[in-house]
Amino acid sequence: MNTEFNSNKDIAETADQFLSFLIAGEEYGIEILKVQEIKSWGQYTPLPKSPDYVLGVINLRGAIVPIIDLRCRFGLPPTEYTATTAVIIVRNEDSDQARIIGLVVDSVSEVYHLAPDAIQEATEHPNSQKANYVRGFGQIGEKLVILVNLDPIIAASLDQMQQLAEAS
Amino acid sequence: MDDDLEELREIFLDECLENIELLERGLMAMGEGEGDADTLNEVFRAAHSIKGGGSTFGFLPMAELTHHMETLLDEMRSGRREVAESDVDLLLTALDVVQGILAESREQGNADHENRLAVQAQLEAAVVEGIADNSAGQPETAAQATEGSSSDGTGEGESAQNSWRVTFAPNSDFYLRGNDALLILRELARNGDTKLAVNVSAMPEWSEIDVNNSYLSWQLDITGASSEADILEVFEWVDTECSVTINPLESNSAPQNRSAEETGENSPTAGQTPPVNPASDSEQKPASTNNPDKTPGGGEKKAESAQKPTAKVGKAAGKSASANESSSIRIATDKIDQLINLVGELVITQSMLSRVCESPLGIDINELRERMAELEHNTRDLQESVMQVRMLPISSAFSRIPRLVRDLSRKLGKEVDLQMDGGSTELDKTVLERMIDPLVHLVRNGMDHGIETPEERKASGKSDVGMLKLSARQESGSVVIEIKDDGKGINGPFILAKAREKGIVAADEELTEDQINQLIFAPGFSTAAVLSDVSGRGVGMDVVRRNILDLGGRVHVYSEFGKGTRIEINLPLSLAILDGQLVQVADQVYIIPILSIIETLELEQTERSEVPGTGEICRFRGEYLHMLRVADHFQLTEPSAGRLVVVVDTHGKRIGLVIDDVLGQQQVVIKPLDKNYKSVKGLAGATIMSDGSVALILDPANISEPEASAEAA
Repeated sequence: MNTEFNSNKDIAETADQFLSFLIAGEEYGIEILKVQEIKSWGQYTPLPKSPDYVLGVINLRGAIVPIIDLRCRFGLPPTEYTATTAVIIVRNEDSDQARIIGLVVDSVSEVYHLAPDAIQEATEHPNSQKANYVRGFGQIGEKLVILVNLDPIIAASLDQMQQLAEAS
Repeated sequence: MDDDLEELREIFLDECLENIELLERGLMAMGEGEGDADTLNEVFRAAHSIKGGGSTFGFLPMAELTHHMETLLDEMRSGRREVAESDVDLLLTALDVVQGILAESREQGNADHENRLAVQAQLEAAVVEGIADNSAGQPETAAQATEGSSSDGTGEGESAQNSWRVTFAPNSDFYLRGNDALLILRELARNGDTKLAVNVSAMPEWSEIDVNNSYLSWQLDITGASSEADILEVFEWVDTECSVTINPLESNSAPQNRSAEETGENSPTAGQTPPVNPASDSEQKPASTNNPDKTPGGGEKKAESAQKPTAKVGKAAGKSASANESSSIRIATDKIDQLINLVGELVITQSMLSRVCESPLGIDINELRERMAELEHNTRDLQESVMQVRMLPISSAFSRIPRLVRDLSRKLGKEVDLQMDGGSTELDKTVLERMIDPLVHLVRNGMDHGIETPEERKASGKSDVGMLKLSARQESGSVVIEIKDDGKGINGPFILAKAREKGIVAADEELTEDQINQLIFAPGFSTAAVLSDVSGRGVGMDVVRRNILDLGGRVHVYSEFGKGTRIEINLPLSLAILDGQLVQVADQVYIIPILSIIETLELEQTERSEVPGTGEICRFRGEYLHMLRVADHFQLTEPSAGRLVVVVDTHGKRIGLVIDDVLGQQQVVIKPLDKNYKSVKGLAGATIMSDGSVALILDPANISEPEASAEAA
């Protein structure tokens, strides 16, 4: 009974933890429960006929996993891949299929604990669909962390792929 | 608990499929007069297992029907009845219905319950008839009985009013074993009017009562249409945990039909049968074993549908063919033992390796090499064994062909001698399952269009029995299945005319003989003058080819007009592994399936020209090929030398892929791209190379499909 209570509490606690990463000096956060692991930057196999932000595929212990360059996805200019460049492997469950996808970021930063009231929900941006990609803003002391809504980013990437495939 | 039951149910359903196959094979043998006592026993046991499991897991219609099959089979087994062809037909028909029910319970179709009742009635009638034949003394009553039970399952109730006195005394641990006396009593009460008396004489003093024990026994007087067998059946699963006696009451007018199965074999633990007073079974009397409660109002429907059982059965059989894709697999224990052995060896080799590496004297390079060689050996063995697990003999697909041929030869009035060869050839389970439908189709087609009627055959100087031969063999990396008949073959000019008429072939297009033969696979093509339920809709052969192509196989038709047709199917051994040719393009390594490669040429040595609109073409053995520069096609940034052309064949179309260099050949495990991503046109998947990097596998079949728009996108 006691242990059950504890583990529930654990889950509740991890539920509002966020992993933050840096892209072009800006700090972003994603829910830690979605993160499977973090890999260092390494070799990948480019995938032809894919959008430019889909860098290619890597071998994750026998599974073929696509990697997406978030910098490019966010429309930022490309940069050199350095020793701090990391691949965050996330598990994305959409419509009963779990996909594993790697996100390439400039560097991984920290794990924050954000109570729900420390998150300011994103308001709808007047003329941009991109607002959808931002879940909210977390206030940590003086710092602002942009909380990213992963699902639409990945779904949109895949959809775009789909369209590409259909068009061809 | 529910999950457990669900799991057991799944196992039962799987077993059912096996039993049905067993039954079918046995019945076929019996029908051809080859069945001996062993076959009969085997068939009987299979029917019995289905029945037993069916009632346990709540498939009552299935249990009921197999019960009737069992009764008929028992008559044969006990020697009271000759194995007649009509009986075998009837049993086969019933089997189809069982299959239909099975498909329904797997949610893969709908069972035809009306048909089931009809078949059940037929079975009953057959039992009754058989007995009537034996007891020649009373032909009149027998005839009446036949009529009664075939038109109405309960019709005999009046004449066969029976009264039984049943005593039921559970053993003291009856409840501990999870039984419930109340359920049994309730079930007994369904057999007719019941008078119940409880015997409390065994009750101890209140102070000594153990609430877990059973102290009561019951005496029931049952009056109704049920036979002793019906009553005994209630006790089928508890007969070792209680004592039961069944005696006829003095008013019992009709002597009872007691078949051997009900007294001995039917109980799960034969030999421990409860003490039963033998009823007066000196005389065999037809008795309806049908429980009236289970078929309410079925009487009229039965009579009505009994007239047209065959047509419906045809449908049921067609449905069940596709319903057999089960997601579980039964593996021979020795295959698993072998796997365990190999894993054991792998563990040993691994620990040896770590010992070598941890040696304080430094690494002995020679020993390390030796151990690595061992590891490689073990790994390869393990890989082969794991692949073996998915391999099934093709006989499981062949096994349904004899039945099909038998039914068709009846329906079409053609005599056919079916030969099957190479049933032990093993194929990947998925490939095998998806080959069943195409096989059935091809056999059906061969029977319908290929083989002529006996008259036609005689007229053309052939023996009146047609020949249909199915064979399978392994040829290097693929399995070849051949379907051969000695029928009339393909009439080339006629086919061509038909194809022109339907607009499949342009009026001015000239085709080679071979191309004409392949026309039978064209969508919408049919030469049958009359649509029958056997073939003629022009859908089948198209689907056959597509199924085979989807599996990465090929199909080819060879035919000689007047002599016969041979259809050859080439299938890959497995879907998961392919032999790949590694090629270098710019800084990337790609894999091309070896099966599709025809030749590799030096680019400089080919005659090339640029054709506006279509791109580059080259001349290859008198044929012009489209060329595809892989580096440009995949928009690689690194420079590509483009030194070689690999000519690949895809579904009869050839293209040249321009690459930089050919590397080694290797067996690769195909990993799908769409598991975590989307499938990409031109790629069959990816694989992991020995250095851990990912290499993409090219799919020659669709790499060349319109790329102009792809580039635009």
